[in-house]
Parts: sequence; structure tokens; C-alpha cells
Amino acid sequence: MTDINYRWQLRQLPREREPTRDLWAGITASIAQPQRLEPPQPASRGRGWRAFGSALAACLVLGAFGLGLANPRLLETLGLRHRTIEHQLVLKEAAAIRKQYQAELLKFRATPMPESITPALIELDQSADSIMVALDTHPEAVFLLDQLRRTYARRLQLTQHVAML
Amino acid sequence: MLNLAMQPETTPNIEVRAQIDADDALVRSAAGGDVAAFEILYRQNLRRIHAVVWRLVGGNDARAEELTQEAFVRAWQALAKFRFESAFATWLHRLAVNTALMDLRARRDNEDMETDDAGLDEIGSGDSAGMRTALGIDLERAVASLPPRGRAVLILHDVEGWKHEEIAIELHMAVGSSKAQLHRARRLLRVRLGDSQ
Repeated sequence: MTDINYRWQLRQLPREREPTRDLWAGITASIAQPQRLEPPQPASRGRGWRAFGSALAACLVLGAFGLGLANPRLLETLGLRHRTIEHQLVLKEAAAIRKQYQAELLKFRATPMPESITPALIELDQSADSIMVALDTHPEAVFLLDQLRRTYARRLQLTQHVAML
Repeated sequence: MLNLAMQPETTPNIEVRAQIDADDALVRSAAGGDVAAFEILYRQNLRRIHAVVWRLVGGNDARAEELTQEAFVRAWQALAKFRFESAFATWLHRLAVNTALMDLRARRDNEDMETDDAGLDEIGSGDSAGMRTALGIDLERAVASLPPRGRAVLILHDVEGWKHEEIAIELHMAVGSSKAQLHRARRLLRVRLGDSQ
């Protein structure tokens, strides 16, 4: 097995795990102790990655229209540009996320989308594309993978909602 | 992940805007002493935080739960220092990793955990949710069996996507040591998976 295969498998390990017991009771017992609570510091110049992520999310609202899940050649284009193994892994994981959601969305292919919902779907698709591009530019920003998942989850959520109407 | 709760009464744009601002609003409320707001943040982030802590401590459920709990208590106490320069989830994740690594360092002070087989006694009890490799060996179990520091470097770099510079800071080691630990951990992992390649 190649090194990149190992690392790909490591990246695929579950990112979430449920504790065997509810920890909240213990936490509330600890934080119930009197302590000083100050308001959070105001946001300083820019908000770093938060601002970057928010700007991407804003694409959901401001993006223009065009139906379809995504540009099917986008990933191939991105794939040609990778430079490191880490970069490849991030793009590969992004591709896996996209593939997973596209498979789910294909189940609703025959469901007609009302005009009122179409703009939002297109905006979400464009936002996903923007996140893919951002990942290619900043492969170290792995939180964008979660952003991508959330975007596709929202896309799927809306599609499921229409299908249930 | 794919079965999200529906909120048909809201329009898509409102939903999106609300989602963008929701975390910040919750953090501000929690920082002001709103325990209910903090509980929402806890519920949202618990599984992600617990997963990385659980993995860092070698799949020990009890220890991971204790440290996850401690991480959230520390987060509550440090909320006033959160400057919104990163996503709250990112900040919390780093704090939790730091909590787990502090525990690893404390334990290292009391026992020799740097031998290759030291972590074998701490392998998870078969409850690993890891995928099976082509060789039929549980990758999660193999990761758990690595020596603590090497395991931490491998998890942070290969699973979580951290850079060596970030790992070096958190683990209080040189960047070169982080790279060496990663190389060693990968080699050990392959050996334990039965791949001598």
C-alpha cells in the first residue's frame, strides 16, 4: 500500500464520535462555580479565516444563477494544479464530499424544482464551487471542508424539502 | 450528516444569514454567562471534539470523556478571551487538543511513554469506529497503539491536517522533531498493519 493510500485512509477516519455518557451534567457542575465573566473582545481588524469563511458563505446569498450541481470539470482542473500530498488529500476529500452529496441529490433528479427555490439551489452550487476553489488556493484551511459539507447539506436539505411538498 | 432537520417555515436566504451569525451570537451570549447558549455550542461541537480527544488518548473512552469535559469547562472559562478571529469551532478544537496534549505531557512526566510498545496497553477496547483496511486490520486500533507523542503528531498532521509548525508549538517540540516523529509513527503504523513496504 502506498504512503498516499495510508494517508487517504487516515483522512477518512470518522471525524465525530459520541461519548458513552452525557458529559453536560459534569460540565454544568464545574461551570456553576462563581467566576468573572467579561464580555468578549470586540472583533479586531478583519476576522481572519472567520471573515474569509463568512465571505464564502455570503456567496450563498449573493451569487448569480445557473442550474446544475457544479461545473463537472472543476475538480479535474483543480486536480491538475495540486502541488503537495497534503494538497492532493484535501482535494480528494473535497471530491469525496461532492460525490457523496451528488449521489444523494441524484435521487431527486426527477423532482421538479419550483422557480421560487431554484435561485437558492444555484447559489448553493456556486458557493460549493467557490469553496472548492478556496481549498485549492488554501489547502491548509481544512475547516473549509466542513464549510463544503454544510453547503451541500443545505443544498440537500432544500431539495428534500421540495420533494416532500 | 445527510438527515438534517427541516425548517420549512423559513426562507433559504434567511436560513443562510441566520446560520452565519448564529455561532457568534451564541458565543457572545455564553460569554455573558448564558449557560443555555453554551449548551447549544456544546451540543453542536461535542462529537467533533470528543473524536479528536478520544483518538489522541489512544481510544481510552473514560479518559477521553474526562478530557472532553475538561476542555468544555476550559472553553467556558476562556470565552471572554475569544476574539472572533477564527471560527468558534476552530478555537474550541485547538483548545481541546491542547487539553489532551497537556494530559499526555503530564503522564509522560510520570512514566516512559516513548518506547514503541508503550501505547499497546492503551489500545481501545474494540469499540473503534475506524474503517477496515484492505489487510483487514483496524486502522483506528493501529493508530491507538502508537506511542503517545508519535500518535499525536500523526493524528494532528495526517488526520486533522495541521502543519508541522502548528504541531511543534502545541507539543513543545522543534519542527524537525515533529517531522521525525511523524516519519517514525507512519513507519510503525505500517508495521502494525502488516505492511513492511
